[in-house]
Amino acid sequence: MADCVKITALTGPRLATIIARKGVDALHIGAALGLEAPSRPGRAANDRLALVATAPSAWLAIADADTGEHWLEDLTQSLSDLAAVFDQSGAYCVFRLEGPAARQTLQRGIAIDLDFAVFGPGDALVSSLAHLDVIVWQAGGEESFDVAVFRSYADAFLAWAQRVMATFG
Amino acid sequence: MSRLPQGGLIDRSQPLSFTFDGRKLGGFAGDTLASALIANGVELVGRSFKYHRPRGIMTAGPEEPNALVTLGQGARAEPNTRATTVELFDGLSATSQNRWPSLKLDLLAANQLVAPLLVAGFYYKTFMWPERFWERVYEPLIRRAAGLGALSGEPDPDAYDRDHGFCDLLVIGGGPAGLSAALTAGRAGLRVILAEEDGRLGGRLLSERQIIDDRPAQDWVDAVSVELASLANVRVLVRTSVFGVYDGRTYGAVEKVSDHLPSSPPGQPRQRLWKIVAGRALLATGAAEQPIVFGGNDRPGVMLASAVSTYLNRFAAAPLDVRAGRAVVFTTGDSGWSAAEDLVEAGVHVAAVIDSRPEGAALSHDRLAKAGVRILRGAVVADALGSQLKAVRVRDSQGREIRIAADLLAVAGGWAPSIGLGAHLGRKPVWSEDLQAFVMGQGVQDLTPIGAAAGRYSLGDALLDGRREAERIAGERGLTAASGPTPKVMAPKVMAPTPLAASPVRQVSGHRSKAFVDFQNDVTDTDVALAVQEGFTSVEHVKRYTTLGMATDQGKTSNLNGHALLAAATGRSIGETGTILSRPPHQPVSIGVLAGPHRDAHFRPTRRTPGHGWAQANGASFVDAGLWTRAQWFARPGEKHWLDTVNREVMAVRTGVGVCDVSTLGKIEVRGPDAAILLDRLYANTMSTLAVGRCRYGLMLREDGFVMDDGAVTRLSEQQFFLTTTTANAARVMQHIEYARQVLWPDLDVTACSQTEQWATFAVAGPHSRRVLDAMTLDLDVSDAALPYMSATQGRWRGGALRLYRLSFSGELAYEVACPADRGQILVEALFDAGRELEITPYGVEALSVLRIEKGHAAGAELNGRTTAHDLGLGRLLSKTKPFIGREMAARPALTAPDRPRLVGLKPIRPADRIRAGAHLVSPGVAPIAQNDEGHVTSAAWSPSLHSHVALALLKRGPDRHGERIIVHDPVRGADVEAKVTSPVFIDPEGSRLRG
Repeated sequence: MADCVKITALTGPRLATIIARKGVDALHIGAALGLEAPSRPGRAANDRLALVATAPSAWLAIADADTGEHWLEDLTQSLSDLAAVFDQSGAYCVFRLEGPAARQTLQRGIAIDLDFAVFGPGDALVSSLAHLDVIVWQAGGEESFDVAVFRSYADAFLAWAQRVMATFG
Repeated sequence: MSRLPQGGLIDRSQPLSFTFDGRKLGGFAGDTLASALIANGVELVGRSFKYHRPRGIMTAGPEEPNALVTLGQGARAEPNTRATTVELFDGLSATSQNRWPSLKLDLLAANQLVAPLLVAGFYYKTFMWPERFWERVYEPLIRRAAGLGALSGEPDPDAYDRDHGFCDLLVIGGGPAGLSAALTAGRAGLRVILAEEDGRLGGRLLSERQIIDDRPAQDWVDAVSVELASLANVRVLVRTSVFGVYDGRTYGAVEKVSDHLPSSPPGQPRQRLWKIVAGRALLATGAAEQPIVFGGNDRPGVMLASAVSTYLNRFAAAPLDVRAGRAVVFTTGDSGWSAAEDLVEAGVHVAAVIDSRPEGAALSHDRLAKAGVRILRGAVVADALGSQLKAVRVRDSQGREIRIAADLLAVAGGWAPSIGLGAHLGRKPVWSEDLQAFVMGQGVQDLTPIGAAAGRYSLGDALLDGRREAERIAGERGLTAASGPTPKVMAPKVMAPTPLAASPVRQVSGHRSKAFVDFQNDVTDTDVALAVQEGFTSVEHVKRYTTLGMATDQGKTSNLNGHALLAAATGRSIGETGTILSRPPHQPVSIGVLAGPHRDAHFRPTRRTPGHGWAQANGASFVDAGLWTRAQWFARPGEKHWLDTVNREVMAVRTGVGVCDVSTLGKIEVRGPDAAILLDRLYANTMSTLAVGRCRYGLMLREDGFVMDDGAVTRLSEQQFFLTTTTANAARVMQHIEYARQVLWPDLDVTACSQTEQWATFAVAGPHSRRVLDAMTLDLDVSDAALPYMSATQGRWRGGALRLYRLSFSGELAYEVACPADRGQILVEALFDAGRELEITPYGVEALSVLRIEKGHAAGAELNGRTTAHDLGLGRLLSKTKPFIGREMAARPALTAPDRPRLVGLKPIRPADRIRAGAHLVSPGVAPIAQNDEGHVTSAAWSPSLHSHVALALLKRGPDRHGERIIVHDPVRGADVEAKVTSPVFIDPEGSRLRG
């Protein structure tokens, strides 16, 4: 059934990598941004910004497309002595997989347990899927997964996803 | 042979038709290919490997050694498929193997005439003289004779998939023990995966006439299946065979998704590879009945007793003509009597039951004696007679010979727990005197055998084991199983396999014809004796010398007998002799399923640059360059040869302006108060002195002093640096920087982030390049004064960031223009719009390479991991005032020796003579042998600028030899070329084109 799972490319989310400076921990970062900065593979969000932990002292910051033009400057400013902020809006494509078979679809490619009991809206992972590096989190509910993949591999990821989705009918 | 009028688990409302060796036959849904062949009276299914002896079906399961067929035709043909595991489907086509011209008349059986020469290890003693015959005569002959089936040779048209499973408990095997365990664990709330390699659950219950809770066992199986399917925490995988046990509680399995269908439905894979991580696992794989070694034990018509029962009970197929046929049973234990009872029940005439023991199976003995069956105690079958079974020669307890006519001989040689998987992590099986079989070694904590796999053969024990172990595992997680009452097993009419008498008969002495131990590889008991005679007395040596246990069945019906024979021949107990260690995969696994989708064009994911779409739309030919797909050249209509295209592109850059997508170069930003310090330590030359807005060539060494990579460093601000690397080393350099930052000098206040994907970058190169930028109205001052050679600037363009670097790889006036990668297409289109009047020309990696060779720039072929800075003429870059990675090691005498090969240019004396990379250099008049080797050619190209072939090379004392003649020696590809040694910079050595 075509509505078991569908995939869309999210257009225009603003992305940046935040790397904490020496001696700065997640609490400092969180305090400066008014939002928890997860210190385990996880995601935290308020209505303006989401932070996905991708490594110790490193986060992927995500904001919607309609965030203002000075988003990057504002973010850099908020973290001025605490962290370096690197624009990644061109670097990643973010795909959203949604539907009852979205979890199963991703599980085909990822060797980390995605069962709903162990991976939910507060979790995130950095792993490899069909030889591609991916960052995965949930932003749209239990049956919705966001996958960030390097732009150069976007077509390859889409081809993989479509092939697997076809096996669900 | 015939189909019994009723009974069996086949679906008689679904008839199927299939072909075997071109002959059209019929079967039913639920048949295997083997059972359907048996029901059709087909007794001969193949020819053996070495001797081409006629062979029939010996077992009913995955351990089958003889009935290997080629399934399917054309590209889907799959050789060496066991007919006993193929689920019959409508239109199935199978052919026998290893025979010519036909199965009935196989001329290759002439091998048997030279059988005495073909004993174990014969190939170590033959085909040695004359030596020159090996390659031309012997090897081709042996190749043709070797192997069983043949590959189609065509590309595999099927798709293969992959999945990952995670569970608290993996149950391997869906028979009574496995079902009991899965049910108990599932009810307790554990995450369970149950893997069963057959198409349906039930295991032995499908083949035996058992009663559970006063109903046929099949009802119990059905009820459990329904309940398991209803539990969300239980995943049942049928047609799924666990083939390997690996470290980290990881299990490999193959799910046959479409093999049982005529072809894969659209979108579905043929098979799926599972990687399962399980907290605990239970091995419920049952046990395999073993044959007995006697003369002619490989004849069609000789079958394992439990297989006879399976064909009768599960498939309603009798392995002989029910009305006219005569069956004999030869057993060394109680379980053979079940087959006798099943045969009698089916209406077959059982001519005799031959039990090697003086006593045992008393109840069955009485029943069969009453039915008029002849029973011989303390007797053995010495030979099976006829090329297809006609009679058996029996030796009774008094030593008398009796000949009994027979069309079927059911053999019961005892049971061996199927514990192959249990040895995958290196734990050798141990001998059990009680069971007279090998059992799993202790202490494999995460994998526990239950039921018959643990040597507990009765049905009641199997059900109990499953429940008990599942309860224990649930208890480990603080969960309790609401198991309900234990299923009641009726005292079996069916004889459970019981432990054998000590030293059961495995080999019958005094046989007069060949007695086989390994059926698939044609290993006889004489071969084992020969191996011992020649000094090969360990199980591992006997295996390799005789090839016992090395066929696709991996000794499942031969290891036990073989090792028992070895023990007897060497005067040891079987326990002392031991057995071999089985290794993954437990069953044959297709390479296709291991590869999954990663094959052919998809072997690696396709990696595209931001300019890919534009290049494709503009006629680019693409090439794989490392991980990336890059435009190789842009042929124009009328250009017949790629060299014409490349020459045009090169000249366009040298005389006009060209654009090349260089987004693949590694890009890294390094920031922080200590960024300059870190860069000084990473690069051989100094970066802290670089002014803001300026670029500098950077050389990075490895710790051992060799050159690792080069690139350009741009200082964007006091604390912000932008680095480029070569395409091939992007990831390596990033790792290097992270290692330095996190491990070597964590005290430095510096951060680094890869930006390779963030920026689309295009080289705009040629005398007219500045005019293109002018025409783009960039709102940036690109004059020579504002943006001199080796400087950079940034700004905004059409609502996004833009960076401009004045760097040149080609040696012409050039810039690198960069914008965020999601806008790369817009940028490249704008460049070509702006340059239209100037005949702006796209160029690919081929022209890029020619340009840099003409300019003498070192690239991957020169930065090959074995060259130093001095070798490349870059020794002056090594700072003498600051420490940097590689500094000390680079100063080692061997790395600074004066006669090391160093970078030069080469021009052939005759310009049309081609010089090729990889050719070696010798002085004129000197023999071109290794001792006289003076270096090699690293890069070469046809230079349209100079109308000559040119090359870069590493030559001993090269820089001192400009003007000398050298011979370029290329024995593999062509004639020697005489060349002149020159400076590697063929174009504009003063660098005037770069500036101004």
